[in-house]
Amino acid sequence: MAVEPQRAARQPGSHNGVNPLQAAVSSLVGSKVPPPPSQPAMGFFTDTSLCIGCKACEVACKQWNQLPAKDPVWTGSSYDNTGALGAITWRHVQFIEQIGDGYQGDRKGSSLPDTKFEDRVAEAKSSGTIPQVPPGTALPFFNTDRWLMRSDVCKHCANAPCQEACPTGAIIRTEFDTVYVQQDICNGCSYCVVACPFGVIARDEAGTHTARKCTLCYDRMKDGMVPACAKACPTDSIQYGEVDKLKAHARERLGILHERGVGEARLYGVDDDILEGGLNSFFLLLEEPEVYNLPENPPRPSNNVVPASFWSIVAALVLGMLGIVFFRE
Amino acid sequence: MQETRLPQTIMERLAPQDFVERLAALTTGYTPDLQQELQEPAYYDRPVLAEPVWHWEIIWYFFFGGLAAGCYIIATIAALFGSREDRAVVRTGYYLSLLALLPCPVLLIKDLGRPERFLHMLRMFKVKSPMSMGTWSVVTFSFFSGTTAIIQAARDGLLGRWWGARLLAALPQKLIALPGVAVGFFLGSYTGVLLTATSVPLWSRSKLLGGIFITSAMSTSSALISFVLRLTNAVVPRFIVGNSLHKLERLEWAAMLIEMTGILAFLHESGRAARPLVGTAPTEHGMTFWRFCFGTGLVLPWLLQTLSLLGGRGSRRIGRGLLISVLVLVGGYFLRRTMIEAGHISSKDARTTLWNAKR
Amino acid sequence: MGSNMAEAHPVAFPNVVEAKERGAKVIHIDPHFSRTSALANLYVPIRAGSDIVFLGAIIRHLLENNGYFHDYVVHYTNAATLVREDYRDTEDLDGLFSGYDPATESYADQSSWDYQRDADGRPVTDPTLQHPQCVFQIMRRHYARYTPEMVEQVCGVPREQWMQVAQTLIENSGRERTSALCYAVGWTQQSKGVQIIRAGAIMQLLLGNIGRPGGGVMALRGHASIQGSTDVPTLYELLSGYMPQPSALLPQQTLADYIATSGQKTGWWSNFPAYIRSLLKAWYGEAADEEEGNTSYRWLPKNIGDHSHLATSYEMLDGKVRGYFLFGQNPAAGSTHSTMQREALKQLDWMVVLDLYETESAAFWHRGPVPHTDAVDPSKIKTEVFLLPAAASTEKEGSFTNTQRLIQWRDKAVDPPGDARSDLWFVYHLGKRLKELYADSKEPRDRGLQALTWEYELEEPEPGSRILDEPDAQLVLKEINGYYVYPQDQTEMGTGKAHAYTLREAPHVPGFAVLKADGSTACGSWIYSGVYPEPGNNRAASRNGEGYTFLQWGYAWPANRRILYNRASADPQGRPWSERKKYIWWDEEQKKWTGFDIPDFPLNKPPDYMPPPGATGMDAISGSDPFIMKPDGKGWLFVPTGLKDGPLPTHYEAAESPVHNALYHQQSNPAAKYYRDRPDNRLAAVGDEHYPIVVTTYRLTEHHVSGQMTRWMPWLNALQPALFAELSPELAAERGIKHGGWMVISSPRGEIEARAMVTRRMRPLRIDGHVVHQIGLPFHWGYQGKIKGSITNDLTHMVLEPNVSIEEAKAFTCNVRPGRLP
Repeated sequence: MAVEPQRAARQPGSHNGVNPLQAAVSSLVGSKVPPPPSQPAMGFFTDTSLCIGCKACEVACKQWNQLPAKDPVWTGSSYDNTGALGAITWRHVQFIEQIGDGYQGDRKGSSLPDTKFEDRVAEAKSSGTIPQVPPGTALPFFNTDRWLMRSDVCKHCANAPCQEACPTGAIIRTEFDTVYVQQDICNGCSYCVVACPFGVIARDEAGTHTARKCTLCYDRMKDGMVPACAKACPTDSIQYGEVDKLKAHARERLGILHERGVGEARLYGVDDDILEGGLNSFFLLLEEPEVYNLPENPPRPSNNVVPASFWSIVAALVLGMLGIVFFRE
Repeated sequence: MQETRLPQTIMERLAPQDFVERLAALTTGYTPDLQQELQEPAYYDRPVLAEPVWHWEIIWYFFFGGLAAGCYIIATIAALFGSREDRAVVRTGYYLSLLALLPCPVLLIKDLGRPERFLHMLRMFKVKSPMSMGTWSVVTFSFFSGTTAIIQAARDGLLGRWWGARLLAALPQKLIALPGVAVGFFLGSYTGVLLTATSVPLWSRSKLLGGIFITSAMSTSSALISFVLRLTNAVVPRFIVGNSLHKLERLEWAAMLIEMTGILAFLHESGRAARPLVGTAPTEHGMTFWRFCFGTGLVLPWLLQTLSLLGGRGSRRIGRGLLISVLVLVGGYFLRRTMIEAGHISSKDARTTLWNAKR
Repeated sequence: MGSNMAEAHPVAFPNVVEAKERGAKVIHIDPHFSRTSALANLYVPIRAGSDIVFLGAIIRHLLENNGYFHDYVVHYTNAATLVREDYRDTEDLDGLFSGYDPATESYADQSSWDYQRDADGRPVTDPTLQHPQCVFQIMRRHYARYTPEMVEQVCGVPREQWMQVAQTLIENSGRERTSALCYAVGWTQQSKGVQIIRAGAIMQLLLGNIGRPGGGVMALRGHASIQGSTDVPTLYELLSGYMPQPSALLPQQTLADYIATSGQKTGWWSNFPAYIRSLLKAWYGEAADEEEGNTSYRWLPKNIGDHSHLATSYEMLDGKVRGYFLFGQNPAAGSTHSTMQREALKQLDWMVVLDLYETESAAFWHRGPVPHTDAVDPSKIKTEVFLLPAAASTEKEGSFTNTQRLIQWRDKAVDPPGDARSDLWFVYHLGKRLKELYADSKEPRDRGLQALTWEYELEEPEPGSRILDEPDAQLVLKEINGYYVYPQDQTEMGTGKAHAYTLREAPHVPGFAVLKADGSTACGSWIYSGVYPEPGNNRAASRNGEGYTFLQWGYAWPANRRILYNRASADPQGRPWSERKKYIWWDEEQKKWTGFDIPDFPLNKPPDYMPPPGATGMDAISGSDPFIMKPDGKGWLFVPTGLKDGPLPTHYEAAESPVHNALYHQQSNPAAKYYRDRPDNRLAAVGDEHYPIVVTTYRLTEHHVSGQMTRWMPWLNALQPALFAELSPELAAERGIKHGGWMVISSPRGEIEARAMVTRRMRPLRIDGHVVHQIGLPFHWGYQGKIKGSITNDLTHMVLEPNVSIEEAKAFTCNVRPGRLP
């Protein structure tokens, strides 16, 4: 499995896959405290089939981390007034209404249907909104009208682009294999912000001016406690635990849902090798990822370094050659 | 960041909108279809990515950094392979390189969220992170550029005659400049690689930005050097630079050609992702790009340069030469500006981001 | 139904989700598609106010198609009981029952609803269910026209969907399976709310779901501990433990009369005298023995009418109320017809508000509704307002009693800040000062206050707390639990010579079964008796989560029974209806009832026990009568006495409705209080074209009721920043309202503005041939707090349900237009 090589690299002493030169330089300026011993990789399994959209996760996260509230803005995007993850928003509940003919989302200013009411009822009957099944037939696991709800969070990627991009070493992988931003080191260059393919990490412009994101409640984990959002979630839509065990559970859960006829259910970040290693904080979705603004298979930014450098070298060589030729005469 | 605000009439004269739109469709190979795009699922049109925080500081840094690198490279090539006459190029090049370098750390530090922590950049040496390597290259190049320029100044007598100046003048400038050139090439190109190693579709779909930036560094640098030489020549007639100028012009011509090719290849490879750069929708920067970067910044000066080169050496074409230099420099600035600003737009386009991430 | 459980009870709803995971079917019937509907197997959109038709049709379907659980119905309900011959049904009187007095708009004479009785006064029954006057046949006639077609016509529910619901219920009830019914304020806040709940109860009785695991009717209460506030009540018409408040309008001048009229001769309520005497003893101590309790009984306030909150609001408006205590209550925004409420507050002489923030009610004298919040002129208002800071729930010790009758003790985590104090502290010290004030009075009417037992001091101040005079909450709990007043060997009780214990030294009673009517016991609320049976054993504080029924987690009144009437989980012979659903059964060897719960039945009464003629009290209840609180021990499908608006649920339209009642000429509840003489309470006429849209109000998870606690919290404000109305795209198109824009909602009482949430979660319904639109309005906003908005209750009216005087906020009419208030 693609995850394995990463795990091999993560031994005490060669923490974060650091090469010797880097270690030498770092040893001149970095801390002398040895890194804590490795623990099993911990993460989240967010099962959206259980989410009731209560937003307890959002509030618990704010409260535990004492994050300031956003200015209230009524978005009209269903019940999602939070909008997106950001520097001071580390859990974000999404709402997607698919009522009637599978209409996705409530777009502002979208044209309203102008067919007669009778036609709409007939259409609803034929599309299955109003079931025509004989009475007594088994009810579907989810009714044909859907309101999808999902608690978004940092994906704590196995190969985190933010961590790969960070030039100060502020972003590290902890002993729990979570991705963590050390707030006393980050200088706010914001390279991680453009590296993240999910738009998770951002610079806290109004506060610390550093990059901030979900810590997976590192401080709670160190004391053996469950992250605040998982603790608050009433339906256990957010599950916290060892990544391997959670993934096994997620596969099982997917099987159960498929058995029950929820064909649209799928996993995201489990077996699909997202960013070549999967996600430590992964999801069970009830729609294709794009509906949740999730990229299906985002390119891994650090993979671009070699080919981009190659073309730079080619250009440099050509220009250098030309320069030499022109100046020799 | 809005479209450049020049009087509407001038804008329209330079190129009408639908012509630009057709250019955009032709070069990217993608004709936007709003209805079709709206069918693609996204979440309330909210961006998938977080918006970059880079604004004018980074644009100017890219510009000056490219000049610093390019001038150094040209100066070193002239020093190693050029004639005696080209020593003007060497001198001008090294001084301009240091001058162009001076604002760079200021701009970079100012751009940080926590400027007082800029030294934290030197905690790490991450080969796979262009930001890390780039910071080191700025630091290293500062050493090379500074040292080389000081040696040059010592040799030019600017530092006086005391024993320190003579010692400096005696240092092996060419030897030092060799690794300096390597770092210079890195400095001039890494910014493009830095943009490519992100998730922003405009910057990352094609892998050519690094090559384009170093090429632009070369073209803008030779334009700057020849501009300075021409001016000096106009003011100090004894200052003979005709051959040097000719060499620079040929280098500039070649660099512009490579740059234009590179940009077209970049647009083709990016396809739909390049729309924010070349398109004409209200948020897109195509009007500025095509007019001031590609049009008056590359095509026009290149044509003028072709004319000049074909016209033979003897003629005094100061005015045209100066114009070409200015156009190239302004075009180089606009290349970086539109690239960054369009990157902001690209980061906000959910559907293109999602399209870019399909299996 | 009538509930949005996922949004309003998110911590309880996971149990529903878990049940669904294990194969249960979740059906959600509601006017708007909510977060509950999103997880349901089946969502049925319904017109607000038409629930009785939906349920009545199911009842009819069960009766006509043998869908009911026959053995259960015959033995455990009053289906077989005969009703008097002079009973007239709504089918006979076009929407009225016999005994209606149009002059008083009430059922003044309910005698015709009574059972036919034999010479001993016992009800006559026909176990074959064939007699035309038996309840079963009366119900068949009563619901004959509640057909699936009627459901489609009145509720707007396609009959296929209704059939799915009915069929699923039938398939999941009976011997082997049970279905649970959960309702909440969607049912209660209607002018026929009690009857809707009754319809649900009838349905569950017919299906054999009451008293059985996974069955029952669960009332999801609206606030934390509101169950407790009816148990140890803050309600005007109840004494503790659901004993009625004495009324001056009834022949209840003496304690004996009160017992005679309020108690019952048979069934568990025959213990009534013990409970009332023990209550009086707890309150008045020694004085409660005078005249065998009569003296202290006379001190109890007597009702002289409807003193409920809403009825009193009108009294207040008329200037008849001098002062007002508001403890965590916000009528200026949270009570119906809130414009009138605010006017009423202006007529007070004084008002004391105990709350965490300056609520709309506390600020009414200088602030008003948006958009003109400063348009109030304090110089014109005479009310003197005292705003006192209250302690939050984590800053005080006490108990919560929530839905399911579970009493859970809460510890105090921190001292309240500054001068903030708990409600207990406030009331206790107020009482002490009043007692001091009246200590020397010679007036007979002050004797009650002087005799009041009022010693709840802590023995030592709480360690770590800076508040030295906080009363002892556990001591209060002890009084509620009950105690022996005298040592057991005392024989001279009630003579003034016996030595009484102090509250602190008195031995606890183990439960209400030992309470006596002779003044030897005291008990603050008999249903809670047993929660604190001995020192150091506060059962409300226990948190042991083991076992099938969690008997060690908290304490469920009465006597820790988790499911009431659980005798019904076994057949008349005492054997479980099925192995799978066994819960309580008769152990023949040990001669007692046993099982997974505390049996809600006399422990040793065998199933075959037949009461002798003339038996009284619990002896009159046979071994197969599970509903022991009823005098006949049966589940009442038909209610012969006790309700003000009829023995059987009948469909009436809401007080404001766009359509006529399709079933009867009687449009809306004939016994409700309409306050028609009040000019501020204008109601829209039926089908009024100016107010054609049905509006229903509801909660959002992110805020709580009028937002008096939540709209001061920035994290919550960011989640739901603005008042919005939910409407269908069809209605929005009709009115030119754009999604995200502003809209004005108007009713005959007033106008408010809100953002427009155009969504397909609201849909137009086809009622009686034409389209009826519905909109939904959350009601969490007001003019105080960090985010402000219009008050939804400015639209609602004062039409009160006849039995409990609750408002009808769930179904009324309005109109909408784009734009904002001027």
